[in-house]
Amino acid sequence: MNRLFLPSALLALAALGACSPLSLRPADFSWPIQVVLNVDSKGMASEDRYKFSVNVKELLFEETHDSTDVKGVELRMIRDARGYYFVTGEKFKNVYVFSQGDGALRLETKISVSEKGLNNPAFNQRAPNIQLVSEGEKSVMLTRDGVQQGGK
Amino acid sequence: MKTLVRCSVILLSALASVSGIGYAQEQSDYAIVQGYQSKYKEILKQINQVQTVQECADVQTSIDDLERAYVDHRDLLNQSLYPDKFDEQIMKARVQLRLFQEKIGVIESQVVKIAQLESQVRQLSASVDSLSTANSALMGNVKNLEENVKTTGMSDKKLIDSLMAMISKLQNGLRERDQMIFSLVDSLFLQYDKDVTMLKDVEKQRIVGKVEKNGVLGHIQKSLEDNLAFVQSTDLTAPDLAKIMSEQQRFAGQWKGLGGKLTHLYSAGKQRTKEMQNIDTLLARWDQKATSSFWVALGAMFRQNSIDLGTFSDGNGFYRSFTARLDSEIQNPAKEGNDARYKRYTNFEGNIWKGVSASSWLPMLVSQGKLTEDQRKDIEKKVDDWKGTVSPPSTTLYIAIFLVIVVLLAALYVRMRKGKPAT
Repeated sequence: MNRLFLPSALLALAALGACSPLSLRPADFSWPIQVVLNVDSKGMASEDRYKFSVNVKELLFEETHDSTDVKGVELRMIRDARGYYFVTGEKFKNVYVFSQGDGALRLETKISVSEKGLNNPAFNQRAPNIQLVSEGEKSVMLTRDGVQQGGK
Repeated sequence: MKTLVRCSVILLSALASVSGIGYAQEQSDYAIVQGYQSKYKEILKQINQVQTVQECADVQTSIDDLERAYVDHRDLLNQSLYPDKFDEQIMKARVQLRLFQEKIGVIESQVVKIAQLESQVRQLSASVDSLSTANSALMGNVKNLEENVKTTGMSDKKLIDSLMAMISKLQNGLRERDQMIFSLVDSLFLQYDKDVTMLKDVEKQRIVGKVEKNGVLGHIQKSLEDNLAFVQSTDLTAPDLAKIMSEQQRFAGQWKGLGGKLTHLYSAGKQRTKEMQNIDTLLARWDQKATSSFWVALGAMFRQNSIDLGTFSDGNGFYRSFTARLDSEIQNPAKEGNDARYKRYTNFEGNIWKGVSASSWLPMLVSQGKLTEDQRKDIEKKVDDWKGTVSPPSTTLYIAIFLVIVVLLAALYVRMRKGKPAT
């Protein structure tokens, strides 16, 4: 019995090693500047440089409680080095942080950033953070988890 | 207390600059990139439309300006622009412009020369703006200091010195801006290298466009308004006013040259006669105010040296008053003693005739036609005659007085010796 234990354990370890997911590190997914997404009447927002499109109706409903009149809405989006997408828009009170899921963007955090609503907001890439600037508001540094520094 | 105030000022300045940096950092990178892209696209559009050497030079200057304006954001632009980065885009624009130049047969060296002149125009225009701001601030400071001097009743020498230094600085600033404006105009017209009457209509319109884009008439009006305000609101000395009168004449001469060209240019298109008439009016008011203030200040300068010439308001009036006074000094009808007359002459010579004033106001009056050359010679001859009638108090008189005192003392001594009883 004892003679069989050692080879069996080594075999199990080798099998476990073969099954662990392959990860490529380090990786940097950051976009140098934000993109401005124009939403169409169906709620779709697409981006040319990074070649993606996403339906944002649910996001607009979450922020404004209205997803009927979405045509012409402009969203600001930027991606940080870890790959999270930060999204906000004019008059938004929150910044939404998404991760990439299976054919979807999955909400990770909703960060409250303004009581009155943002005025002409813009994201700046300030690795490892994302800076949010808005007219009449103090700039804030954001991470996936929330406001990092500067306070709101 | 002063140290405390100075420290507060330094602290406030430091805070202001720190907050300024903070604000600058809060700019949107996206807005910077968008701003650059919009200007770059405009340049590419201009390249496709160039037809003359001046247009090529304009575009070349615009490319240089764009590169200079965004060089601090080079890293951001290189990361953000796609597929061509900042450096590649600038290079592409230059190459494309060269290709167009070759296509329309324009020689590169001509473009370079005109682009340099255009670059000078833009730099001078920016310098004129910043000098105007600095001069306005200085004018405000001069006003405040004058109020303080009036309050303290001319007793604070340090304050008066500060005021004089500030007035001199402002005067230099105004003069420098005047010169810059006309240098700008020169650089602008030199680009065309021919008389305005020989220019084609399209070229005339381009110059008019540049004159307006660089706000030439506006700069000239502002400059004249400031010069006028300076003369009206500041107590200036006769030598200072003499310099201002020369400056006014120089300005008027340069405006005469430019005004003629502009009249010709505007007759082909847009009318700007009202602005030009306003400039003529301002120039005339500046001349009138500087000249009248000069006569008043000149009379005051003589009075301060015990020579009252009465009032006069032009060159002939001054000549009559001054020569009458010189005749009176020479003839000495009141039989005044030599010492008082000698003292008055030396005051006049030191403070009016051979000081800084003599080298500025008298020749200037002749050069401006306010005195004739004969009048000047006559004044100089009479001053020489006046000098000939006075002499320093005689030294022999002092020697005689000294000898009398010595003799008296000796006599007193001998008498005292004789009066002493023998022992």
